[in-house]
Amino acid sequence: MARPASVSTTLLHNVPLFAGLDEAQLSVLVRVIVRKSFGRNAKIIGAGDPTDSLYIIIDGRVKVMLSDEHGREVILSILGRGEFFGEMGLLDDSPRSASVVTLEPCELLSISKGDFKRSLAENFDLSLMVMRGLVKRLREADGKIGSLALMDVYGRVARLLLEIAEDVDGEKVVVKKLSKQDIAKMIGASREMVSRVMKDLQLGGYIEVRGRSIVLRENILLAD
Amino acid sequence: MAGSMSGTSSVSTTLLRNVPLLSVLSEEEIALLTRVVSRKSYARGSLILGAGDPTDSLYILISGRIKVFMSDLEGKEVILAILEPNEFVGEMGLIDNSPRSANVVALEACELVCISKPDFKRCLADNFDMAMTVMRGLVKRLREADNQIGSLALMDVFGRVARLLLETAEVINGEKVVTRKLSKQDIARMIGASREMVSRVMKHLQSAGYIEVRGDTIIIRENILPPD
Repeated sequence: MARPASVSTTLLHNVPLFAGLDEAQLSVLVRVIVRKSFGRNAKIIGAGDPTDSLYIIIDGRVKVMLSDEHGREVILSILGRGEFFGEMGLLDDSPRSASVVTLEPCELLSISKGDFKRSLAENFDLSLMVMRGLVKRLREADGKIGSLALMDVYGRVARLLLEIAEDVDGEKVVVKKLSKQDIAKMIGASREMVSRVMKDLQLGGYIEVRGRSIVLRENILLAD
Repeated sequence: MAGSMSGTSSVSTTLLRNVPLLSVLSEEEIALLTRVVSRKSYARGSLILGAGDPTDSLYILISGRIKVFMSDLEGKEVILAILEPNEFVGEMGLIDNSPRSANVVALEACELVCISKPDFKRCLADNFDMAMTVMRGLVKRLREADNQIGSLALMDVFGRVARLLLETAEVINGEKVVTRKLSKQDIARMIGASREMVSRVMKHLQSAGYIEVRGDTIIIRENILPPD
């Protein structure tokens, strides 16, 4: 499903991960970074695979997920433009712990382990960006653990909606398309339960569905 | 659970040299650090960091054990991690400048070395190996968090107890043994279950031969996963 294409320094300039790098450093990276396109539902990384590359999302969204032997899934995170994945195995030399699958057609950049580690050692700003990315994911993971262990399904749906909402004209709006199935897999509940909870939240005036987006009301965290 | 009973004392180069996170620093940097870091003692049960506090320091555990946890409005807790000597806490806020997201409490009498934000950032910028240690530490915690999410979402309480025991066990003479002291209450808070449920599951695992309790330690049999 993948085809490589060329990469420009302009493209790399717009990648947040490389924000601290100068022209000379970017021109080194241009020679070692590969651009790839993937269709919808393409598996980019499989759990247990050896680790060989870091990936940066130029366009599209991917889901990072675990599954058990019965094929039941839990989505650890959904990543979009400017975010990166695959760095964990490059840092601790372990095999991939989760799978990464595209949710829609995606354009990705990939950089090999050797080139990534060399860049990291030469650019402290890059290390700092990687650390910030890890901390962001760790905070999200801790939040998810808290809601799985402490909240009921109402609270978990409310917390997830608040977490992915953006501020649009002073309102909290979920604009990213998320299926009920995906929400279910992100909070460890069944799709049916998520449907019921979303309907209750709507009837109770905690959320308002407008076309494809969901507007969150102030009182949503009191929902449960 | 107030931060009472804490004291401050001086720090030697030998003490810092023995901390893995700092072992890559040069003699000069270690000497510089001894003048700026502080050593603090905390009694069992005292609050070291509170959720929502501003972030100003990195804490390295020298002795004792601490728990990192979140709690809800009713005081129900979930333990994110139990840290042992040489592990560190508080680096997340120094990296992303956000307030503390979790509470840290001493599980037993503890000694910690405390490094201020500017000192930590300067060491990090000057030492790639230290930055790598911090990144590997974050990756380790993220892998553990991801596993915890997987088991909370996909496993029943039997599976979660079994996974936690396996994760905590060390291999001693070819056997998997849990030597770390873990109360049933702590286990319950680490896996999001009640203490009563954990007691029942542990009793069942024992009578079915999946685990064997010998004094303070627990021996894990090969076939523990999946017991359900």
